[in-house]
Amino acid sequence: MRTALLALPWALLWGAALPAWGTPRLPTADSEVIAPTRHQDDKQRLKTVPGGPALAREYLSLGRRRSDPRYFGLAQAALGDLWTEPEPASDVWLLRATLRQADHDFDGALKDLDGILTREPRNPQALLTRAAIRQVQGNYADALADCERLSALTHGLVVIGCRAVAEGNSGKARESLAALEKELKGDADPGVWIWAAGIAAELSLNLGKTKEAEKWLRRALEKDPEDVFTLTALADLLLEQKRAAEVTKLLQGREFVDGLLLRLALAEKKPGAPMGPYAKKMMERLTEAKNRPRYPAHLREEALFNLKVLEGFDDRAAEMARENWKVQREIIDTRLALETALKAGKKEWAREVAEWVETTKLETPDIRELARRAKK
Amino acid sequence: MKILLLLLFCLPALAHKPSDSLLRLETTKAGLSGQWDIAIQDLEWELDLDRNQDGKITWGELKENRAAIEGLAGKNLMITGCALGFDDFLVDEHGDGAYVVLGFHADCGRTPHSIHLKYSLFTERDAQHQGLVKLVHGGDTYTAILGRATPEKNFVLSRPDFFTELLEFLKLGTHHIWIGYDHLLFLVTLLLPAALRRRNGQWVPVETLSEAGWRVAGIVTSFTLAHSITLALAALDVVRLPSRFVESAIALSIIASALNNVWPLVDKRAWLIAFGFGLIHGFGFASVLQELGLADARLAASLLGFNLGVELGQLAVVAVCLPLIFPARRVVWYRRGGIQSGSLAAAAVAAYWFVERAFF
Repeated sequence: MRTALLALPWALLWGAALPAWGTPRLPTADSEVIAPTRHQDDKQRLKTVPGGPALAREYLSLGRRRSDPRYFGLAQAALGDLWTEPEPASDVWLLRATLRQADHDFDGALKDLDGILTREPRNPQALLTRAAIRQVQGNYADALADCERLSALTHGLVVIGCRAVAEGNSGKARESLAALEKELKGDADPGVWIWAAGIAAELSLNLGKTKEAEKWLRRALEKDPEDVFTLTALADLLLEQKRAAEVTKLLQGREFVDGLLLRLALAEKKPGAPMGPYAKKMMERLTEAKNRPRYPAHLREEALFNLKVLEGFDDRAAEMARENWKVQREIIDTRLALETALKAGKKEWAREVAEWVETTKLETPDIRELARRAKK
Repeated sequence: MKILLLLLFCLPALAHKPSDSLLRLETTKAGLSGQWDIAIQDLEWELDLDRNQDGKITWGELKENRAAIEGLAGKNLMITGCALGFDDFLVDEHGDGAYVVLGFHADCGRTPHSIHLKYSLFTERDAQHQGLVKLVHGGDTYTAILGRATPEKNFVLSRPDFFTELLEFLKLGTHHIWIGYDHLLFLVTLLLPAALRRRNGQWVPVETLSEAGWRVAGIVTSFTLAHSITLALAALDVVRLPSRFVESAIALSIIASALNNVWPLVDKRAWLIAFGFGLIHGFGFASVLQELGLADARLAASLLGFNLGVELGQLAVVAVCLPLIFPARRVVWYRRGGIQSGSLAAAAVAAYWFVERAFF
């Protein structure tokens, strides 16, 4: 596996630098706090849930709320034999697709979703999830098709949002944003609203409207200060504007989530200075994550880390960004692929991404600029 | 219809890792020593760690749960042919939180040549939990990732190459003869009159150094040949003699050889004594190799190496003795009394050993 080969020199390089086995210690006082409880309340509540899809769903939503993929393993186990059942009940099938998606097994997830939709062409959740995956993969045309099918089944913010991602990233940012802003004025389920506000922020950035983007994200944070997706997007926005101190304040105490730890490391970074504590911790996390078969799940973070925090690892960053881009093509991934390829002098790679940007009609200003440089 | 919007799971920002435990093993003379790092947040699902329900897990609370934690660990790690025992109980921090560190040992009887692991910690409850295994054997490191998908792994440990093993046993052989005072004493009794020969009931000096040299060589070589044979037989378990018998017989051999210097029965064929008694000494050496469990080892390398080592050790003794006994052959009191008194002293010591070994 290509990615496994990529991992190896890393493991060797970092394996030497980091004591992966640490230095265990004997605490001195009985009263010393070793760890906070993380699952106490959940444990109690989940005791009453019978094993099977219901329990899996609980674990799944917990995993999302806590940004902790440990729960996905529990969810998978809770499904038991249903995990390998070729054509299970739709709700189980959907759970499985979602778990696979969370694990970055997009192909596996799509296979599951195709299966569900063959059996139930009008399953709204399956359509929505498939559209989401297709969007992440940069397959906007097919994603739009799913959104259209969805619009026949329901209406409201969910549909507008679905369309907005597909069209907003393929040349229709202005119209999509307008439609979305209108819909966001009304009432909606908070979770859906926050998600849609995030899309509005992204589309605003596509049009160069950074102040608008920040407004949407901050409003989303008001509704849910813990939403990782919003925090990440806002941190990236602030970093882009060189407001690193605000990032540190925003994400303080949240280094449990890798994506946020990375932003903290980025904010901490001063050119030429030695690695700060956040960066060191990130390095440790990335090394430990290498033992996971779903290594691609970390490629984006790792490439970013290499590009922006470590110095002298441009080739590595470019390779990882390229591998990442094969799997997912959100704005951040495309930008990363272009930046790293240009920095490492990989003209061919940069050109390939630039051509895709052109064909797709991506409007994000800085990406268009990078694409222009790539085609020179 | 209610749309759950699980869509939000599409979070690539959620780039964190599921549950891992870290298992490190190292081969020892009796089996393995190990360290197992298990995440406290994983243990929380199985055990009730927060005894006072205050939202924090303290060192005291962990200690209260020690038996339960070790029990859980012991139940979920099987090493074929080895018995697990837990030692240290410590903590450590990894990227994703605090871990309990269990120090343990595996008693396998001897250094294992292959290790079969079976891992089942958390795998029923967590489909994505993994045990990251690192095994160190000499200079080699082996790794494996175990979990629900791969619960078992067999590590075949590399053996050192022929010459490395030979060298190792050579050192062992040399060491063994140096600490084998009884073997050395026997050798000395053989060497005392080596530069002399009997003529008309008296010790007469041998003329040339080369003649003396050849006599000594003859003695030492036949000794070596003999003990090589019996060493091999014993090490391969073809012949098995009780050690008490062997040790006592060795003591007797010294007495016999020493007394033979005083009242010579065998002279021209001194090498015969060396050979005859060498057979007994070989059994004595065998106990060392038996301890190392040679049944499936690189037999040739180990036996050859060991014997060479013993021979080298003996040659060292000769190198020391020859320059002494050669000129001494012309010294009258040496011929008339030195050898005899020296031999009787040796016999006395050997007699003491005999009594000690045969009866106590």
